[in-house]
Amino acid sequence: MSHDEIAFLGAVELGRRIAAGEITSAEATRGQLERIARLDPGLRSTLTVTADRALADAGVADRAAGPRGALHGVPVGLKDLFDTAGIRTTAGSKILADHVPARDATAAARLAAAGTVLLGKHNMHEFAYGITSTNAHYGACRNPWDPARVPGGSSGGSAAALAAGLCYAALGSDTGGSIRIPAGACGIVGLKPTFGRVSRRGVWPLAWSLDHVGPMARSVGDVAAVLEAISGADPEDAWSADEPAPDAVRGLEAGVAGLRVGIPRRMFFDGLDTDVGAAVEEAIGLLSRLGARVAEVDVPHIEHAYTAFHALLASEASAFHERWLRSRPGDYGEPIRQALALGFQVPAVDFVNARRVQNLLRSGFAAAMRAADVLITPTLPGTAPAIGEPMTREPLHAWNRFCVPFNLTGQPAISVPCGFDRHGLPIGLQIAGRPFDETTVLRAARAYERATEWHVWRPAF
Amino acid sequence: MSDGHTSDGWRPGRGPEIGAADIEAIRPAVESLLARLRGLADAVPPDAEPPPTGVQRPRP
Repeated sequence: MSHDEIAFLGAVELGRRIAAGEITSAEATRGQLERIARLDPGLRSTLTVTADRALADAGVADRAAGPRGALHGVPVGLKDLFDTAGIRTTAGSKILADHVPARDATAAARLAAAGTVLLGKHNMHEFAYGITSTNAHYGACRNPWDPARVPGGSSGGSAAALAAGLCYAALGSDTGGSIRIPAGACGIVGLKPTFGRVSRRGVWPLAWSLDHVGPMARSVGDVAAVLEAISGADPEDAWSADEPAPDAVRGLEAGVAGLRVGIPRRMFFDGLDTDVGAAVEEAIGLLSRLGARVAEVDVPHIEHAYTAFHALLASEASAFHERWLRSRPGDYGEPIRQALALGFQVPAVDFVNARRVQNLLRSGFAAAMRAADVLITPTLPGTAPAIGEPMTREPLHAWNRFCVPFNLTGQPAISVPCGFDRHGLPIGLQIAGRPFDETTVLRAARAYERATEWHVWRPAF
Repeated sequence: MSDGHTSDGWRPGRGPEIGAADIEAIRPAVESLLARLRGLADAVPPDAEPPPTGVQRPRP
């Protein structure tokens, strides 16, 4: 097996080979570090490479008496929003350029406790406040499928690294699609778990009521394995749910026969790029042929979701950043500073009304999901735009408009690859489920993945 | 001006303290958001409540 073939093994498959003695963690880690050194200058996916720590951790993994789990010895990356003890954590910002935390974020600590090896910290949109990962301070992260295009964001570095074979799994955060957008744009798998499922302690906030932490990888099975490793209650996160980690891997292969698949046509299918629409319709047809029972559903007030999201996001983000915005305004990139300035213009009455809409949407989705086990939508209305192309937060045109409803409701949602457009750019399929039912979301995603080959396509980068 | 609005209806909020120049630069975006928020307010049924807060299990 060539070094490049090893680089694109699945995380669980690599863990299995390490446990079987077919390859060492050190060999896999050295291979990844060599690829990062060779390929990442053209991608800017990784802000800090932790080579010495990675090789030391790999040695520890190789000398262990037995594997700690399915991910033992597997090299991974973290969005640079996650605190890492003794390792600089910038949040993609100039303001935190020299910040070296004393503790790991809970999710990072749990991933490390599973025996993984930290390769480095991934590039991202500044303070996670944007969806392109075009970073004013550390350089634009590029999409491996076309380096002239964005990888999506804000967890863009993680998605780009996965697509390019520069890590086997990663952790991202998702406030308005920031795991699912780059997953869709880069042709990898990204899961936003249920709100409260994964601790956010030690992860720099963007908007407390919308922030989620979740796994990113190249397959559904790898995402499920990482979810199991990082989930569970955390007494240090006040919003953490008192729920045990899901048994996410065991039911993966159960298929979709008899599963009720809801299609929320209104809003979620408006304004689609032609190739995206065709790919998603083909995916729905395939799920039907696999035995799923497909029916349309409707969610009242969905047309107000993006505006409610925008009001909550802008207000909460500006509340968090107010101190630095007063003392260090020049240290923000201009788009972030302007987005933060906007947050001060949202009247409190409108903020409360946005929260009321949030509650209406939670009720509306709950009602829709009494008739459906999962919902299917496109992840994004179009494929990755060029770096520098203006982005809008106007509801009918925003690139992330299909993702944000599930940040408002907190229900789990995944993006899986479902094709390529006429430019060879990946298209993502979004599958959402009931709160705390990641198992069904992953099962449906795996059934689709097993019946297709989109997830094994690799960029020529 | 006593209600915090300028003569042309523009509401500066904390603009003079924070990002006045930025706010002017994004004025169209702010006005668009405020207009949409007015539409949102009109659409909320009178009996709609915000989500629970306080000591609650954070289930959606």
